[in-house]
Amino acid sequence: MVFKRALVLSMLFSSFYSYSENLATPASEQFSEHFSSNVPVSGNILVGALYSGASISDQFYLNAVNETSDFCFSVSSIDGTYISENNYRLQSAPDIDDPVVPIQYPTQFADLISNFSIDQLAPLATGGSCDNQKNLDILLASREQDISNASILFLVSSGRSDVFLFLTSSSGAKKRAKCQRIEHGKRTAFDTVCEISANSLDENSYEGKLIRRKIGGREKPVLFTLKK
Amino acid sequence: MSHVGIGIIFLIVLIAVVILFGNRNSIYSIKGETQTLTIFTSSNPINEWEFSQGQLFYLGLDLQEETFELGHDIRLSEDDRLTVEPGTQIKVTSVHRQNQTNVVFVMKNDGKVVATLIKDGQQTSLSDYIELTVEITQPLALPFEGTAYIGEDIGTDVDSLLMSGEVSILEQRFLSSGRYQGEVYNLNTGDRAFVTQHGNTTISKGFIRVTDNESFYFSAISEGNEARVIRYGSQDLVLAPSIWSRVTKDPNVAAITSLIALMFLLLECYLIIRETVLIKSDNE
Repeated sequence: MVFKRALVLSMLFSSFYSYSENLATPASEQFSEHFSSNVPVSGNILVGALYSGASISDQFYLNAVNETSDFCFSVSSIDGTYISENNYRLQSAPDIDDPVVPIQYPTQFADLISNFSIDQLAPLATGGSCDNQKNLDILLASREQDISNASILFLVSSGRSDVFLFLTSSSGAKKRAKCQRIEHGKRTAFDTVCEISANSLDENSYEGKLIRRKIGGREKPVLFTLKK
Repeated sequence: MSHVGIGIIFLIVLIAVVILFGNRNSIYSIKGETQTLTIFTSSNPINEWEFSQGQLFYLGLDLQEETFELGHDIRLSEDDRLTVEPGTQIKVTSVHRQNQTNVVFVMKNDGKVVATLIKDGQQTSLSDYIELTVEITQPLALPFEGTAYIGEDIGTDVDSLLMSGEVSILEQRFLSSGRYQGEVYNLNTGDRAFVTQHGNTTISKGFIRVTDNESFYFSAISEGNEARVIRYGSQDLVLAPSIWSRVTKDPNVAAITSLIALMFLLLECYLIIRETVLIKSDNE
């Protein structure tokens, strides 16, 4: 029954997006998502990376880069009630002039997802398969198609540590994102938001280093590559 | 006579309404033992804490420096002085390992000066983020003023907690500037408590006293209309005085109600005596 619903939704989405030039579709027919009072958290430290935007819906977009073809796309809600993780494939090579591609998202919980604000829902797109995430190649997702003048948000599960996020370009220019702890509400999946203006990142690739300090000591840093 | 009776009853009802529903701010006194406390300090000079011992970590001064990400670790000697800038967010955490208690002060103020370090005659302003780890060899008492969050709400990776404490409410007396002791609530281990006024966290005045124990003593008072307690990580409890406690605990209200009761008793006695006299005179 659930599978059939997912299939029907998938077909509806396919027909809707048939007018779009490019589309990211789930690699498997079975869409994997969970909603319950307490779903198991992934244990990842970097939980989401996205462009901020004023409007929110149950729809997601990917800022595709040249080499993007297969990618893993996960979505986690801050309160730990919703999680999804699926392999995706781009139907055709990204267009350099219009790199923002809709992600087909045949969810059964559209209303629920739409109710989470921009800093309460963490989409994370990473290059390659979900089963092989040794090298974190972060692609930026968004919840609206227009990403001009947006900020980039990194949603982090800090483990109650203080978080610092540095981005270094291939030319050596270093940027620091402003990280702030979320103090109120249930924060099961992530508890810190790091923000940097997208305009300040004018190169295509950055090496990211997420440093965490807790009670006078340094935790193991998280390294990733940001592709934009 | 019946108009006078209705007038008296109306007056009593009016007094009762004013007593029960009149706007009176309470003072919340929170004290106890905790392993962690976060204060967003005000600009009051009382927050200029000074240290001349401990291990200091601070970020580099220039983002493009190689050492910026790694930061700097230095040891403060007796001749050095670190002065905390008022307006800084300070998280105090005690760590007790192998009979040694260290207190870690994490101080933050985004893009602004957090503390001034005087070392070897040179003065340096440290901004953004610093950590100071102090070994406790003798008791340390530090006063503060600011919005205070006592304890840490329970969740994954939380290892410093409020151990015990109590919230006592000092209510304002009716028609007087004095205070009386209202309700007292006990806090559970793992609670996180703070005082609010119409939803905004209010300024507290208080102090912490750190010894070589596993946790440190704190005491803070704030004026507000409710104390909020985050319990089990998500449950939000509101502690506020009951309107009935004004009747049962306010000495001024108790005096007024006693006087009214006495007045009714005397009235009742007067009516009985008057009736008895009237019956007696009728019989004669």
